Amino acid sequence: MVLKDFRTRMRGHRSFILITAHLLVLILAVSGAYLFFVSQLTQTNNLEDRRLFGKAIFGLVVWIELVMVSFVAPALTSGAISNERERQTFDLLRVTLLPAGQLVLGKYLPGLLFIFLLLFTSIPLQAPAYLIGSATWQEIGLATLLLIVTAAAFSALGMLLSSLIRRTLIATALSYAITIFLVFGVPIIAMILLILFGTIYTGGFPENALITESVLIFIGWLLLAVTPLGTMIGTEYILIDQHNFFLAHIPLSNNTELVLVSPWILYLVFYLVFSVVAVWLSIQLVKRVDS
Amino acid sequence: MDAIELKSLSKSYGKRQAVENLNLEVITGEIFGFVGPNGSGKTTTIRMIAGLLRPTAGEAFVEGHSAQKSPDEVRLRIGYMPDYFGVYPDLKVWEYLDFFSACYGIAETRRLGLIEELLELVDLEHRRNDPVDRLSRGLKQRLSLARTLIHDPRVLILDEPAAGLDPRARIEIRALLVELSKMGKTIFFSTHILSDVAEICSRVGIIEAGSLLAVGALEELHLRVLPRRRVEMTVLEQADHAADLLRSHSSISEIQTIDDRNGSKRQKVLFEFDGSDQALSAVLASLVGNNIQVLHFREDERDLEEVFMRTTKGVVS
Repeated sequence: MVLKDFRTRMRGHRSFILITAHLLVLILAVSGAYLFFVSQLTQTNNLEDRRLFGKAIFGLVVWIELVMVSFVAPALTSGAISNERERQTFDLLRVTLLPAGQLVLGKYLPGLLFIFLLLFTSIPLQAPAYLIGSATWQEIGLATLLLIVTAAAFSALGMLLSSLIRRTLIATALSYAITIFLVFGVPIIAMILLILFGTIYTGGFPENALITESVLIFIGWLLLAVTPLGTMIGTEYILIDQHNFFLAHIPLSNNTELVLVSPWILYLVFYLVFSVVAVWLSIQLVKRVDS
Repeated sequence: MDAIELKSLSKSYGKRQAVENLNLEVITGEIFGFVGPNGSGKTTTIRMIAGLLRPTAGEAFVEGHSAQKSPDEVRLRIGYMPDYFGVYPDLKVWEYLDFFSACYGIAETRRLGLIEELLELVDLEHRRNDPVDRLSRGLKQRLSLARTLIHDPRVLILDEPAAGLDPRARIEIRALLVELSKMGKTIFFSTHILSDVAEICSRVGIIEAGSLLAVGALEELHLRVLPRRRVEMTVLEQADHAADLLRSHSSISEIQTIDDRNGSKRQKVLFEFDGSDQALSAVLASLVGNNIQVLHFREDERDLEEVFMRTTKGVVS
């Protein structure tokens, strides 16, 4: 199944266009950022600025890749099963001895591997950041991990919707709606809530509202941790500001601290569990006999 | 053990009864034609036998295995060909078969030889490297048949295998089915092309509005709906005399005489006869003995069309 999927995927023009477009976007973004920072550096030219410049380039590439993965992944899998139905090959597969699990994984893995191919082709574009030497191995490793888990989760989302909905168009549209909500919608909701509570609690939280404050921070933290962008920025902020990889110390109004796990840990747990559940549900849906 | 056995098989979609209490046995090694008009429940029945559709009631068995309770056992035994051709447009002919053989868990080392054999059987070896999408409908149908044979199933379940094919392709598919039958396969195929059924099937089942109206060999069915033999003869001018002579036979009824439309001296006499071949031969001898100039004397062929028209009522479920 994997071999067949790769054969058919790589024979068409679609893959070539997708890889080219992805690299062009990255090249334009990195070149623009590079030129901008170089022009800034000629004015200041100190070591700290160079370090920040390197981090900014690295962050930009990872951010673009994260957004790209979030949107390409569901597109690659949202037609996996529904396309088989539309092509009228689904029943042909169902009467074979191919187990539903192998059918789903055989559709899921090629999509995932194609994303890895996209990520692999973009490694040279991260080179400016590595050359300047500002990105730590922790940051590189974490960025890679986040990208892989994001690809796995959003591919699983596409897979689930493709198994659930008979029409590819509807499955793809719904995948995008959920992705847009997670990538952009949740940060907007978090921001609205922040403004709302900021207005309610102007001048800080009263001392007896410690639990309310903690719960609100926790909810905000969870919202941050389900968005790829929020997780990336939040984790980087804690790394730079608190030099802590695993824990974040959030100051409260009564001068105490709330200790929370870094957003990347919550992100990984949430999306890994989601991926497993979504793939399992897909298998159950594919296994189902028409009634 | 029967190759296929349907026990009180029913399927309803809400209030609409697609298949109703179907009981049928398909004997091992036979070619069974499942005949019915469009919307009669043929495809629904076939999908239930293949384990693709859950019956509302009853059960379908293939070589004793329930399609609902032991679907893997049934999948192993059947080659299913739907009434459409599922295409992977970017695959070549041999890759298409290779993919499906992998789906049946056939070892990679065996696949290539097997594919070559199948391509030869369906006469597609010269198109092995062509993209599937470029094949004509007839060739796609042959490839589809090759796909159903990839795991060497004992029972072939084919839904309208000749639908939409040109006459040559239809004849070729028919010949292939006969060849497969000789190889020991049981073939259960649905169709509404009656000539295909009459040509190759050992038994026929007629379904209408989800109900099985008649099952049996063509001869049997014909005798059931038309118990008397119909005879047509052409004589020279003496049709009335011939009719009088025929009336003297107690086994002859429904005598009709028809003049030739072109005004020639030829006249037709039609009658129904109830008796053996010897008795019918004696009738002819007595006509000739009485100086009736018989030009043509033949018994109507027991055609399925007649049986079908008399059995079905044109009802759609």
